[in-house]
Amino acid sequence: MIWKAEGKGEEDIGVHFFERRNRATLGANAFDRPQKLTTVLPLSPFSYDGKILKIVWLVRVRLFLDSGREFIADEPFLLSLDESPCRFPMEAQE
Amino acid sequence: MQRSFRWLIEGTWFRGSNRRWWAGVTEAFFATTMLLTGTVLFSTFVTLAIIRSDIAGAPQASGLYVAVQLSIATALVLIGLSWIARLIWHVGVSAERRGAIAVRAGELEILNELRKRREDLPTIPRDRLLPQAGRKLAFRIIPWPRNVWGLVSSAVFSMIAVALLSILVLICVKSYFDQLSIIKQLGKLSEQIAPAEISQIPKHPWLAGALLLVFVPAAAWSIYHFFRQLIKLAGVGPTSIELSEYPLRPGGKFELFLSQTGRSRLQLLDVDLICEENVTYNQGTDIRTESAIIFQQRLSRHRGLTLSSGKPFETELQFELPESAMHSFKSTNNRVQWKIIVIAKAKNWPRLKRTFQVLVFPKSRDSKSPTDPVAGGT
Repeated sequence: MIWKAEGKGEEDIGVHFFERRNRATLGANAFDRPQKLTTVLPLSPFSYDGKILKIVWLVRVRLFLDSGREFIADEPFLLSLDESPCRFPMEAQE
Repeated sequence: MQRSFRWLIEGTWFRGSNRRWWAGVTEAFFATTMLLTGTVLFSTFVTLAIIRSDIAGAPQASGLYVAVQLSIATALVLIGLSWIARLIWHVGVSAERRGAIAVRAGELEILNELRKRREDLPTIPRDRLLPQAGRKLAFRIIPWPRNVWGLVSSAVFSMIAVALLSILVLICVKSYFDQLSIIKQLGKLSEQIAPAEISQIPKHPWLAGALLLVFVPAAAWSIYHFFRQLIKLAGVGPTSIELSEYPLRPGGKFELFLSQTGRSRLQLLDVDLICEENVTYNQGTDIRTESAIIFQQRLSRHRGLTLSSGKPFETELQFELPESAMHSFKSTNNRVQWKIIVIAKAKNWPRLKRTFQVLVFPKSRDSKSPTDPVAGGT
């Protein structure tokens, strides 16, 4: 589970949660049922949609096949107390 | 005749804020002159002592004489430095604060609590300088960069530049007189000049002269820059910002206490709250940084303020952070920074901008969350 800071600047990545499951852990019918992972989400950084900077959270699954090939799948999600990311522009108070 | 005479004594040039301006400028001028004169004398005396010791047969000054010279020069430097420090202290610190410089034990506890909570939020930047206990409100935010660092760095730079300039001038003058001496000797019959004397002819006297051409404008600029920094601090002294809660949080309401010291008349004093994105990226072999202001709010504006030594301008105001505000964030190449910026404009003084970086924690629903700000009593 990672967050990415991207935009005009160089991309930064932070890894919040990492787990490796090998053949023994996955079992023979690994793709027949969903795999669960559990973690406590951190208090920061929140998802953010700014002017030259965005912060996105995603779950990344990387599959390593016996043939040596790799597959990557990203599923973004929102980390926020509201139903939307912190957003630009923010309205100034009077 | 009487009217013009009266104007000379009581004219507008020496009234009100102009008098304060002249007082500040004069004091800064004398302090700077003393400091730089001491630097010039010190480097001159040392260089002369070295030159005399290199010349065989030259009359050597007694150790006591050299010690007296160096003592005088050092005394001038120390007097200049202490005068500048006193100038800044008396302009920048109110009488109450001078008597209240102490950290109470309870406030240390608040600061330790802040440090602990920050450990749970790794992407929240750390304060470059932790806030201190305030006089009126709980937290006093320290400006960054520090007001005094600009003055200290320009003082050191100008002292080094002036010292090097003095040494180069001495070398050039010595080379010039050596050249004159050699020319006079060459006017005699050539067989009367010993080979050893010929070998003492300065080979490249123009090198010191060329370096002089570079150092004169550098030294002049450094003196001007240092004097300007001193004028800034003497005229518009340090700014103090205190907050009722720290760190801030989105949607929260906060009190702010501003104290502005100085010895001038301010045409304008603005306090702004700003949120800025800073990103760094590579462009070829260059590393570039770009900033974008994404939120800006004028917290207060005051016009026509009179500042005097020991009586700062003080005001309290309230402000609120937007609910959707992004918290402070820092990663290797990307940042979200919140700042309180104080801009002061005074007639005949350089425009001043003071920056106070503040932390905004993520908001939380849980009242026991570590993102809740630390509220302190006064």
